[in-house]
Amino acid sequence: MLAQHWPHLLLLLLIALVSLITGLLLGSVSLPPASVLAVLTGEGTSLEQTLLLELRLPRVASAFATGGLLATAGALMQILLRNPLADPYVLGLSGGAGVAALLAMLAGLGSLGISSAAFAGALISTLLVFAVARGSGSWAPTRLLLTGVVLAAGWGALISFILSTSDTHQLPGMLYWLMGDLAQADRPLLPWLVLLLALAFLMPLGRTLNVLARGSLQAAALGVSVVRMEGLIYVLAALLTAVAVTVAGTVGFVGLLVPHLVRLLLGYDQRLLLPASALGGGCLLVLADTLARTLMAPEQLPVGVITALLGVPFFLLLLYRSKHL
Amino acid sequence: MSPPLLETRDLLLDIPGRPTSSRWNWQIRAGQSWAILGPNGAGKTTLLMTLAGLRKPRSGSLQLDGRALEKHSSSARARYLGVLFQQHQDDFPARVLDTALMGRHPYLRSWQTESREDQELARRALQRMDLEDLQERNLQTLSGGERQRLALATLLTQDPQLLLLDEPTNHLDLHHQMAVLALVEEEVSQGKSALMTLHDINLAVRFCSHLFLLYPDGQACWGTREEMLELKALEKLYQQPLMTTQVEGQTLFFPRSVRK
Amino acid sequence: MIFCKRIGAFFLFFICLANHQATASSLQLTDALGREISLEKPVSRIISLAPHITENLYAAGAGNLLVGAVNFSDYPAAAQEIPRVGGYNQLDIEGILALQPDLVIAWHSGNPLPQVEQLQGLGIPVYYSEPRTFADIARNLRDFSQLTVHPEVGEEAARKFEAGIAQLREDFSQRRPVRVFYQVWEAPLMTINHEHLIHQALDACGGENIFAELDNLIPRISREAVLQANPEAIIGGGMGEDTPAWVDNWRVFDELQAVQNNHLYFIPPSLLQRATPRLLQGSQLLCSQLEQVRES
Repeated sequence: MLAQHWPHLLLLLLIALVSLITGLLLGSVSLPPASVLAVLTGEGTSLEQTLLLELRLPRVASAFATGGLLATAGALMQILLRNPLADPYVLGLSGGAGVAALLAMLAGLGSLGISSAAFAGALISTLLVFAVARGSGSWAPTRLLLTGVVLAAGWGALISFILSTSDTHQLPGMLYWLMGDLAQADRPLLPWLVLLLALAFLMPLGRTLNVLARGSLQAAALGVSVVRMEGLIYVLAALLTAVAVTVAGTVGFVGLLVPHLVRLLLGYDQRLLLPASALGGGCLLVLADTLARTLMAPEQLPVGVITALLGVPFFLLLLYRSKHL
Repeated sequence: MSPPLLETRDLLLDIPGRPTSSRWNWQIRAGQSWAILGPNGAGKTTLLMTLAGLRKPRSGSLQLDGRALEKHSSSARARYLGVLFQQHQDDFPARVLDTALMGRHPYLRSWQTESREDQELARRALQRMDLEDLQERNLQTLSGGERQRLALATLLTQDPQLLLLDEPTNHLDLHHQMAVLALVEEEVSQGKSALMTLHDINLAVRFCSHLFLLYPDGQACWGTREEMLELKALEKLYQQPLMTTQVEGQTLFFPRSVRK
Repeated sequence: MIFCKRIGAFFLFFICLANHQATASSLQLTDALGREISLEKPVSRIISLAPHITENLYAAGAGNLLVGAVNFSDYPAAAQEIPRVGGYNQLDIEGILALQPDLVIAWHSGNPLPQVEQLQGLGIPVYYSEPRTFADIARNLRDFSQLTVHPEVGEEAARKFEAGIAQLREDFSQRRPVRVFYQVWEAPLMTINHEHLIHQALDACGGENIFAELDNLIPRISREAVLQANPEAIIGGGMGEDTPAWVDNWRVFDELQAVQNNHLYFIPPSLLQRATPRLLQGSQLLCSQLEQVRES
């Protein structure tokens, strides 16, 4: 970590804290800050305690970790594929997870069953892309990308098939899952653990990733074990995405948008970009989820809709004002 | 005598359709500068990539400083061998200074950050390439020639024992062509070695001590400049009649127009 | 069916069916859109495009005239034997044509209208059904009974249904209001607003739908809002005939009155979520559950 990065990260940490507090303060039931404080000091009515500690806290925490996972995975995929357009789902991972999750819903499994199925589906899809793309022994990004895109189309067809043949009762649940929804996200421990471990693991690799961004030949000439490194990134990005998908379904856009925002605002050094993406992704998803919970309260929106509605104009504005991507 | 810096043992390049007849036992020693000459498609770049360990040969092996190339760790290898590529992948933006600093990668442990000395080395390399004013620029905004000089600055920051240069004069104006080759010459005079693919025989003759002639059928011959400057051999190499002239004591080669 | 799209208020506009002096061979019906449909009697080949339509046809004694029905037409048991013509949202037009129906009964807010209009364009008479109130259900039954040779069967069913609902209203609608959360589904968490038939059933039973005022027919709501509204009873729907596990998920929130007093109930959705005479059974069950709440 370079010394000049600390001010940026501290600022982002502050923003993250503010967004977490905002997420706790706002909900479909409005709680005055005083009673929030009361709950945090162990007082407050039983309703207030339930609202804050059992509903909002786990959900806000899950949202932050999930956003962080997606943004980090997106940044990694962009490096791996040397393509700024890559997102965590670009290799068909969301489709695999989606098909498995919908099948679990058809089978009438509970939320734990659906999460496990999604995780398995994501990994199966990852392995499939890996096996097919590596068939010739080459890691060429275009080959990976093409395999992923074609596989994603296949998954997409399966998802459409399931949706068009399912009972009406199950459709809303399926659609919300596919759009990304945090209503069932009440187990923040796993995503946090995975996010922190991944960041701790990635931080020493930041400079290597910088070199890798300049192409695999150049990286190899500078002493990077490219094949091992790319395999590592691939597995890690897939794992992060799979965990995120089990928490919130396939929330779109965070993984594409946040690394770009960070790049436009803070520069290209992966040693800053990765932790900043994690923090930024967390903030974005917490804020989007807060909006999803409050915008039409007590009616609820899927968070994926908000991330796109929020992200697209902001991103276009930044892009318009910046000279280069 | 110390072992050669880089040595090929029965090396056969992996080029599809190439006969397996010619295997090379070739040595590159400190203080030598080699030019690889040959027509388009002869495999000059493949040869360079194979020597750099970035491409597997069809058979044979490479010895780096007396040990098999694979026995060296990848970062140790990068301290011996540095490569200037013909093409640069610039899908992602980066600061010019940061790009030059990447040359220090093989010298740093993964958790280490670039020191003040590393920064200084990168700045000096940029200076030598006339890029000191562009330090803060994004490399995606550079011209082709500036980008090529930045790649050279990164290579200078890497400071390898053997510089492997694929068309180092690509994209460069005349002034910078000469400046770059003079700079390589200077590095070599300080005990480094260089090996470059060139299209211009005259630049090769002027700046290199050794020549490696690579024929399209996979045959090759190599030796000192003086041994290799055979008009007949060069004409056969390029399938092109040549003529020579003397200017200021140097032999210059020109293509002869082919009569109908 | 409960996931139907919202329909405009004008669909609720009904014109009472006049007792037509019909000739022996012709029949005039007015459907939910107020369209006049002339049919040649006897009508003998009917296709139903929604499960509730199938069920109402059977209740009106016209089940034996059905030659085609959409998927999930599962009541009464005999309905399961009828040849299928696709799902309610994806019709098998060729299959429908091949069955040569002389009447198609469509669900206006559920079926894809372009497909239904295509059938009309091919000259097949289409009757739109859109039951939004108890009265609509009775009217459907009476209309369908006109298609049969024994219209008194449907008339009787409609009268029994109306009388049963009227009885419930008389017995319960003035009792102490009970605040109820009706849970359609768990993920996403969904309920009903005041336009829904279930709301009307709650109304008849003296229940108070805590989310009556929301805009959507089937709004998706937050758990927080349920906790804040603190209903006296929670009634779960779901999909099958058994209590879904998620009704018990509320038990972790012991500050809820419904949890404290153990008023978590289940009514099979087939009895409450379909606009058919079985809604009377569902409503009776609902009323008795709300009575338990009042008595505790």
